[in-house]
Amino acid sequence: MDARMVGYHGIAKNPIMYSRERYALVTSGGFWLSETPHIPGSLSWDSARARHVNWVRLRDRKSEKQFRVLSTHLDHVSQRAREEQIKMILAEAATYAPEIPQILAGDLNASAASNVYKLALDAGWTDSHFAALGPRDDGNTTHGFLGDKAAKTEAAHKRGPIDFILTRGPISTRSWKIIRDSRDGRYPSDHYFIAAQLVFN
Amino acid sequence: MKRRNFLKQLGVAASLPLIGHTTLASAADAPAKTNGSHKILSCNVRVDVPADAKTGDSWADRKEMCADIIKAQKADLIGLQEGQIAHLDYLKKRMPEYDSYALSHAADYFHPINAILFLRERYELISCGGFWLSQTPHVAGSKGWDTTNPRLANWVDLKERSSGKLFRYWNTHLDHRGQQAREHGAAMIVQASAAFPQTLPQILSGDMNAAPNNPAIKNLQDGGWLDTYVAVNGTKETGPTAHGFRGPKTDSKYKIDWIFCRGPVKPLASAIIREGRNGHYPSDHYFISAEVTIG
Repeated sequence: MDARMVGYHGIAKNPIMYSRERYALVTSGGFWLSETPHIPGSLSWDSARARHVNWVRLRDRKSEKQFRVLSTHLDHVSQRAREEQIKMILAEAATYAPEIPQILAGDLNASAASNVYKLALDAGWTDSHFAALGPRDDGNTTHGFLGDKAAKTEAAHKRGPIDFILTRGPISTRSWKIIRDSRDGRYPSDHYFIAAQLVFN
Repeated sequence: MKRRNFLKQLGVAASLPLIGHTTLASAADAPAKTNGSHKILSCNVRVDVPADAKTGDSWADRKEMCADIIKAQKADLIGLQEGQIAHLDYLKKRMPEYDSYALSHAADYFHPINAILFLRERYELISCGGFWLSQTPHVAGSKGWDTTNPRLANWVDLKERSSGKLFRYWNTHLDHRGQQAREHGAAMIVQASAAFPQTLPQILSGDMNAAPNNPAIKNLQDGGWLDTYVAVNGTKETGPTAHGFRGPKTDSKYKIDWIFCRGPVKPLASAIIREGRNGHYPSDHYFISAEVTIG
């Protein structure tokens, strides 16, 4: 929560939702992706906006297995900020034992060709898109509410997805897909959503 | 602790029958609250140390009394320090009307540190979080400056259901040895709390391991935090809050447990709870309380 508790003010909230029937919340937290991660709304590295990550630690009520889910949105302007921001997320996650499954979902504002993505993979994360069985879908995930029409017109298309579901630890990916559903030519957002079906080993 | 121990621990907690008990301390022990006020308790409940059993002060020896005394205070908000999963599980079992929040070490078991309890019926949890009092506040278990143990501050943003009033409640425990760590830790809490407008009511409880003349306390006060105890009772001598299970026989001198407030919060009462039973105490600290109105 930031200084202005109501409204957008350029701060995406990155909430995490989970099925309460299936999971129990063990604990949760979050931090600001800046040099002062404890200060709400803080900015570093020319980040155009104050960015943060939220996380939950959940317990599967049936298997008793615990795992973490992180949700973030990296800066859309500053490349340096994106790199420093992902580094913070990776460093924090790395303090957990490798046996603890972790899932990082986010709009990284960076493609699979970016250094941001490389940093994540170098730190031991797996892109569920690549780990999934079946044919790959390298289409764009942003479309400016244009849907199919964006595919041919937007440069964004060429870079492929900028929304990712990354995993760390004992997790296998069954499937991965871009959800392009629309209704009467309108879309639920200016991004397509992505879905990954994961199994904890 | 390995995962299987953790699972075992969870299993034990989950399978414990509801423990029958008699509430020995009556509700009359706690002074009646002013209408609409909020009562906060800060309780260093002392980690479970086997050596304490020698004097009959282990957690198992004192948990019933501890829960009785806390429960009888009829607090709205409770900040625990040194509480482990066993403490939290037991207290929540005895006081099922509270929800809780705490960060944990990054271990594969849940070790709640500085847990916050709040009355579910009165408050809606809007958001919660915390950070470690170190140069890497986002990294679980990180240690800063000259600290002995990793230290952290937790916060919850609560909305009073009846009035819609929103406020933030903090709970912390500063290091028992590192003076630099205490000062920096206090400064970090000031930085984070000062990021909010002065119109937001905020409350901070904690074992600061710092007496009134400690620069860590000065950092909090200079940073806009008001001590509820002094605001109500003045600066007269309080006696200690940490007593090593010795009660009045202790050689300790200082009040090191605190409840502060900032923004539109008005302290109405604040007390040191020296209650014990048969020469034993619920912890090696007295608990402290504050009653405030908000906004």
